[in-house]
Amino acid sequence: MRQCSILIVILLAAAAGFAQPAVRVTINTDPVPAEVNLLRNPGFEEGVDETGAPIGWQINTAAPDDFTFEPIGDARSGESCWRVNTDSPAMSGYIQQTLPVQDDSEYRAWTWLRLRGGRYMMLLRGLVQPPDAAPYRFDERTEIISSKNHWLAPLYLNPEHLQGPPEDQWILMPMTITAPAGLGSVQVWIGSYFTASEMHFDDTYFGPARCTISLKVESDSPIREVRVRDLTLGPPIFRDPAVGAVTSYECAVPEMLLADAYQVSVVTAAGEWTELVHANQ
Amino acid sequence: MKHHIHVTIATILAALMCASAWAEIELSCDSLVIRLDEENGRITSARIPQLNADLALKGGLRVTEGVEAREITLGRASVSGGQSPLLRFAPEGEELAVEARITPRNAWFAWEVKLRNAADRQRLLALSLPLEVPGDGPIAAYDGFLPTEALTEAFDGPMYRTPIPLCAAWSEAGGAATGINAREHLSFVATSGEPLPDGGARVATRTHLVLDPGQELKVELFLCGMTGEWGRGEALQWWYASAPELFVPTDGIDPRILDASAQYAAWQRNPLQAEDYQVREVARRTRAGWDWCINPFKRAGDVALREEWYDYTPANPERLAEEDQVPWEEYRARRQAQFAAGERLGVAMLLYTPAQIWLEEQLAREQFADAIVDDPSQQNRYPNGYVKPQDSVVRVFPYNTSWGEQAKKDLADAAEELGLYGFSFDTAVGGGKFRGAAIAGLPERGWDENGPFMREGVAIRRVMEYVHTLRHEDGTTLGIAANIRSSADYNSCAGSDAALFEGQPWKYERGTEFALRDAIGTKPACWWESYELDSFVAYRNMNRDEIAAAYQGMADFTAIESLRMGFWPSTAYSRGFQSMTERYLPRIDACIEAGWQPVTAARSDDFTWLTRYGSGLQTRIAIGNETPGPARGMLTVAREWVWPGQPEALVFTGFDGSALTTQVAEEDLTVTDVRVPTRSAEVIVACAALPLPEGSKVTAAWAGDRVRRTLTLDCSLPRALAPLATLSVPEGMRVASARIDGTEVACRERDGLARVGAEGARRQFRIEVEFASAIIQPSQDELLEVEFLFEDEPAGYIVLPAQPTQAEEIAAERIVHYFQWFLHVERDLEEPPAFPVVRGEVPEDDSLMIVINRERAQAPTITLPATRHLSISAPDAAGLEAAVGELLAVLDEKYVAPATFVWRRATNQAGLIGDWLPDPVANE
Repeated sequence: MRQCSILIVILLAAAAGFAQPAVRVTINTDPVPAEVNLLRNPGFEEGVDETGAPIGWQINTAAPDDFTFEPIGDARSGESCWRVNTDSPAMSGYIQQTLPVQDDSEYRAWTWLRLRGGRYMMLLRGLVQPPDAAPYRFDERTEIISSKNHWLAPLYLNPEHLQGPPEDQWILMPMTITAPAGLGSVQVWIGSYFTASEMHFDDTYFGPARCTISLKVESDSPIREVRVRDLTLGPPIFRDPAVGAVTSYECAVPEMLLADAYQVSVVTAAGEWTELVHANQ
Repeated sequence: MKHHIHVTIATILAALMCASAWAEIELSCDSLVIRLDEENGRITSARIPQLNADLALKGGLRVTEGVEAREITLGRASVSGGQSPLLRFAPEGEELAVEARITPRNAWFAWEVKLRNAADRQRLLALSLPLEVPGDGPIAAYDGFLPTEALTEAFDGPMYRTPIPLCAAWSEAGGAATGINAREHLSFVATSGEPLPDGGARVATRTHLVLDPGQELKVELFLCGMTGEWGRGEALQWWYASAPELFVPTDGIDPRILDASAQYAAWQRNPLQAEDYQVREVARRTRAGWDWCINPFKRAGDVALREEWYDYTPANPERLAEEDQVPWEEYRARRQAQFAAGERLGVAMLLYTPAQIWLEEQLAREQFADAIVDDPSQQNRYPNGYVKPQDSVVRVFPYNTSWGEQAKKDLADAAEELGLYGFSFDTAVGGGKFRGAAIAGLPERGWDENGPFMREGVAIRRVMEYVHTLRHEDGTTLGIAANIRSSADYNSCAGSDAALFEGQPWKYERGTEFALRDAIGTKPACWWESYELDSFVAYRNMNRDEIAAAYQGMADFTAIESLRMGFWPSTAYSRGFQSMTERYLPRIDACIEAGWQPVTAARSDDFTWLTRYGSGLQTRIAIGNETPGPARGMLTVAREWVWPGQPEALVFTGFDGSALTTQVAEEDLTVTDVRVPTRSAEVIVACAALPLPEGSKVTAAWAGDRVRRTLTLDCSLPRALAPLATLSVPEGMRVASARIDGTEVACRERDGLARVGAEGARRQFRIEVEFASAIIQPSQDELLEVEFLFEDEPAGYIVLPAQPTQAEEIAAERIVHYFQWFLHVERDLEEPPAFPVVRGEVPEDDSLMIVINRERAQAPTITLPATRHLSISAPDAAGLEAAVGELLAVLDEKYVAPATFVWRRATNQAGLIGDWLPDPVANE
């Protein structure tokens, strides 16, 4: 019995050594995305129009018969999110809006995405007409692929090994552009790129790229370092390596990339804690 | 009075009968009998001969004008009779003459339509031969791209995907196809179809023609019947037959162009540090015959590498690659050396061109401005990076323009300079439209809502036709492998000898690649890209065995799909897999060589799919088992489709020689005991043909090896007949002996066939024919007992004549490289030793001597005068190449060393680089 107690204590101590430190982080941005979002009906709560597109959006595909575009429940926020489904990799299919942009201005765009298979793509496109040069196309993209619904499984590939984000998880897919002089407007496309796909969108954004982040960290053990990452960048967008061994930390950082969520890492005396922190909550 | 009335009635009746007999024309071809109304030339009814059934088919010529498709009423036809009636129309008030001569040709009708514009204005006309195919409801249809099981909605192209000029509809009661002969060079093709209110479908293939004042154009339309049993394949079979030369590779081209692609193994060397022996052996083991020699020029589109164009300031000079920043002489010399090196290693180096449709912008604007394309539906300019990173390029039209003439000259000059056997044509989809002045008056023009244009695909085809007029100095016709994907213009497909499908076997919805397959007929195609396993599986979290299993799964699918479609896996798919190099590639090779057939003519409930290649004694049937367990069963083969008009029954064995039993019925052959391993595909091959009555059974099997093997036919007949059989002689072999029921019989051999027979009718008999290698005289066992290596060193010398020819040098080099590869892969030698090559006297040494052409034999021969003396001799370079090839193929039985994996993220993670995976089936 005594040996068992010692064993339990040892196990608990070992577990304590590996335990995450208790950390609470809040992030607020100024502006808040909802205040400056240029997209109409970004959360797909306003219903559909006569073409079947979400209000404010257009459906864009050369093969409409191959696609299903529809509002569904089980949303990230509110009542509705938007579903794009196709069994055919023969064509791409998007929803889009066209928005005005200012010359040489920085913009951010994102979708919250639940990807159950296929290749999600966001395109920001337009025609640049510089005053003293030939026009050219503007085309920036971000994408993520999931093979989780691929028909090669299970006969040819083990379904357990298929790649892609967890099928029931909402992930943030942001991108940043600088609108060149002469662009005037940008088309925001989100959808499926030439793969059989099942994907859901919610809480989209297109608008100014920068904000002031107000960061507050509280920890049960002294804080040594704080790092904040945007989801598109490798290196941190903010780092404070000399916090000063406090248990409560606050700062305001201007000119940060605006997002709905950030990857925050806090190093404390008890260890390192990393989590995706949703902003403005 | 009564007599007078009788005479009157009889006269009237006779007149009516004559009138009705005179009012219809009946024309027959093997697939369709049609009756035409002589008054208007329209089809009023039909019959499908094979079904012995009437088909209420209706149809006839249709001509419309302009975008609004104003109907031109053809009116009465004047018909001059005969076997090929000529219908003449003079539509009232139209200033247009229309003629159609209908000629039955084998299994289809050619409708040679002539249009003459008698007006003083340009006419934009649309021509088609619409058909109404009856049915009890919605029926199957083919739009020239993909089939539909039941047509319930109308369609009208052209769509984003380009159809071939063929459209069909059918049901179990039969059907028909309407199209345009592929020999026509047409800029506009559209297919249309709609369900009919009472069932069935109306289908048409339409072309748009531009006729200037006084201009006359001829177009050959196509019509055939269908039994409906084999779907669109029937329409394709006869459509191919109407222009057969366009659906097989060009006669006389280098056969290596019909093999798999080395996919940069020889051109850019993948991996970059690959040694010569690695390039040669990887190419050989992956059946790679040609390489895609991409961007062999500094300035985009300058395939001839002209000195006067070489020095220029590109649009993006900062992107000019370091290797391009050399003087012209150096660039030229380097290019020559690269092409020569690849060729020496056995790979046909096909010089790359973007189908002569993309050119560096400054050059285009300065010298070839009349050829610049401005088509709003296409990308006409890239500011950088599309062809060469430093260049902006514009789209140019390579036919009947200043650039068209230059394009041909450049191809010819490059071919001569580099000793090319062909070209690789990229960006050959051919969808663009050109409206420049150069198209004035050309018969190939089409039109759309913006007026006349000429299709880029027609221009590319004209360039391809020009390439086929060029000759290597050894007389070989130059050939073309083209990147033509699934939606290429049919003209590009017609002009190509082999196709590159720019994607993996899983890129599109399964089955859509048949659009490319249909468009190129029996020509070979290859997959491009590679596995990109890291885009499928979370390899970082997987161990070696799991990654290997994932790769094997994708390789199995690639092989299966390759056999289903008649596509080659390119080198990137084959390397690393023993299953590919030793099991699947030989089968794929045999099938592609026989040629994909659109009518499967085989059925089975026991397997996932069947695909037929070849006909008659060249028949191969690929059989897929896409299930998690082994499959076993039988299949039936429709005799009349597989060997039309031939009374003999074909008999089959497994590709590996395994025994199969063929049962003979009047219309079908049933092949039993066919086995296909788990998640795999197999091939059965026709090995013999016998005149057998219904109810006969033949069990056929091969035994032996590559050097000597015997085909045994055990025959059981319902009634006695004298034994007689025609056999296909395996390539590179000759008949050594023949026996029937143990008694030697004579065997006549000619044109790759052997015929054996005996007198004396019997119901049971056994035919045994032994074949021996025409080149290798010792047995395979004797050859494999030769000690080529002693531990990890070559066990002797290769001896050449004192003054060897280049062919003899290369023969020696092939053997040197062969063993270097084996030692590198299987003995892990980074710098494997090479067989020493001696020129002149045979060393006085008891080492192994591989003696090449000590005396040039009259035919390629390999002998083993002593256990340490191997002699290879041949009268010429081709014979020597064949002899060494045969030797290495035999040695592969012992020196197992498949092509190995190269660096990829996943192979690196798994530690597979430089390794290969054993064949899971062979090792079961």
